[in-house]
Amino acid sequence: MVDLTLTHKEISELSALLHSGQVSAREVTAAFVSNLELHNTTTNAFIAFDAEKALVHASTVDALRSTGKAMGVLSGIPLAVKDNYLTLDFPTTAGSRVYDANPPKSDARAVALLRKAGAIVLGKTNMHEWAYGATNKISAKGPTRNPWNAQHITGGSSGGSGAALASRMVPAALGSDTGGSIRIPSSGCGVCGIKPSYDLVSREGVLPLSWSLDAVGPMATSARDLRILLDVLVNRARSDLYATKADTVRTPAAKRKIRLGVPIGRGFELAEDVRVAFEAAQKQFVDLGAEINTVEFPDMMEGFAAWKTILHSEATAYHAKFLSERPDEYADGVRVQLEAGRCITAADYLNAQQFRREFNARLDLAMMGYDAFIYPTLPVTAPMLDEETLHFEDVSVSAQDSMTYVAWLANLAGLPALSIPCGFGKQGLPVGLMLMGRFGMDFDVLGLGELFQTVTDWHRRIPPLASHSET
Amino acid sequence: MNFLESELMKTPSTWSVQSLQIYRHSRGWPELSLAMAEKVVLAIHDIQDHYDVDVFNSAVEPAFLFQPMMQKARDDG
Repeated sequence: MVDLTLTHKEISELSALLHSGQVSAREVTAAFVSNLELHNTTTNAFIAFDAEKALVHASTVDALRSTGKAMGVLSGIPLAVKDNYLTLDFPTTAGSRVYDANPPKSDARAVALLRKAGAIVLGKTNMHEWAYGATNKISAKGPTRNPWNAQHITGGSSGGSGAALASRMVPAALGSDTGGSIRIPSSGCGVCGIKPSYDLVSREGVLPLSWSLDAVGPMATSARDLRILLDVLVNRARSDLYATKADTVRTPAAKRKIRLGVPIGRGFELAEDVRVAFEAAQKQFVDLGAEINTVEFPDMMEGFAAWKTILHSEATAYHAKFLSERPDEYADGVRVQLEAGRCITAADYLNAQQFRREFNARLDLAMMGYDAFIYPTLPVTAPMLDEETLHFEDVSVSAQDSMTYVAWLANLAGLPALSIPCGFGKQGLPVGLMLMGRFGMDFDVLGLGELFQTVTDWHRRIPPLASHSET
Repeated sequence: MNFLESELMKTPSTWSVQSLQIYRHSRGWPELSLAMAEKVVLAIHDIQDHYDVDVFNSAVEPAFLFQPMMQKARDDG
């Protein structure tokens, strides 16, 4: 039996109930575990979990709370962790057959911080093998399926975390993002996720894909919850990295007018149903008092090529040993990319990094005077599992490239980028809105997301699978 | 220049399956199956197919004009 009144709540609401003693951590955990057990067969979101251990942990939290001891901000909140974060109590595989390291000496830094704040780790979530792909179709544990329609992908590579949140198996999750891997499944599954500014959250203990592009960050069901999680996760030793603080909250009454840019040019094509949802989201912001301007932004194709060159070079460098010793244990789709990466010359890699400097300077200039650039996270809604090529406007691209179509931009530039739900497409699948801010303005970007969510309820929509559970 | 040398001189974006196998052999890497090699060659082409080489390479030219342009914009506020 699932208590929908609990599993449909946000972290902030659950925390208030826990703090006031109206509900116990064990009841909260049991409610989410029930959802997990009900929906995991359909979605394949979790690849390892331990309900009993989570319930024991929850009882410990309740016992501590009853003594009047001061509790962490996430005390009693269940959490899902993507399978590329090292964890003491669950194996880490990166969704692959290749990785079989000895048990780690400690949790990944981000996991340790969330545990210290009281979060209860339910288990590890499915992911595109080695995070080297954005569909979540390739995993040693099988593909992840979209809770809104199991015939569709979740998007990836943090697809298990996206599916777990959408089907309300957890109220909070961790993801990682090298070309959109937090934001893509957030968009595909109708949840929220933020890729923080580069290095704002420690990547220690997270298996890398591409060192200079990788970011780790939280996923949740609202921008407000992302603020709570990110405030726990920020690397306090690097306070120079963030320009805005967690208590920066935007309100419609804010004195300074919000200025948003909509980038235009080649590389910003959209499917018609996504465009309709995006235009409605822009209108919401205008109604909230924002000024929106289009901004011509060229060289997206070259930026994409630079991102790919850097991604493949760095991924292959990390995988060199495994690729030599155990090449046949990679899924074909991942091995192909690693073998291709072996053939990129050092000169090409260095030229791509040099191009990146200029490209990012140009982007910085284009963003001057704007609080954020806004654009749909994906040009399409989540494709079907067997869909290989997608067509929109005059563009035909692979399902993989449609996922990273604009999302890579924030990784190449190291900028904070949030994805929040902003509507549905013609197939009844969610559309995500990306808000990309200037470097270090992570909490300001979250504030814009929270503002949008004060006048919309897209983030509160729940897939039929999770909203019609027996009660 | 013999055939092998000329194959090795090609840039990866123009490689055929044969060029790839020759390159791999020169590095002491095992030969790939034909099916895998075909996919790898496509992936290599895909990495660089999207961009205009002149635009991409302009960023590494000393005369690239963007940095002064940006400085001017900053100076102008």
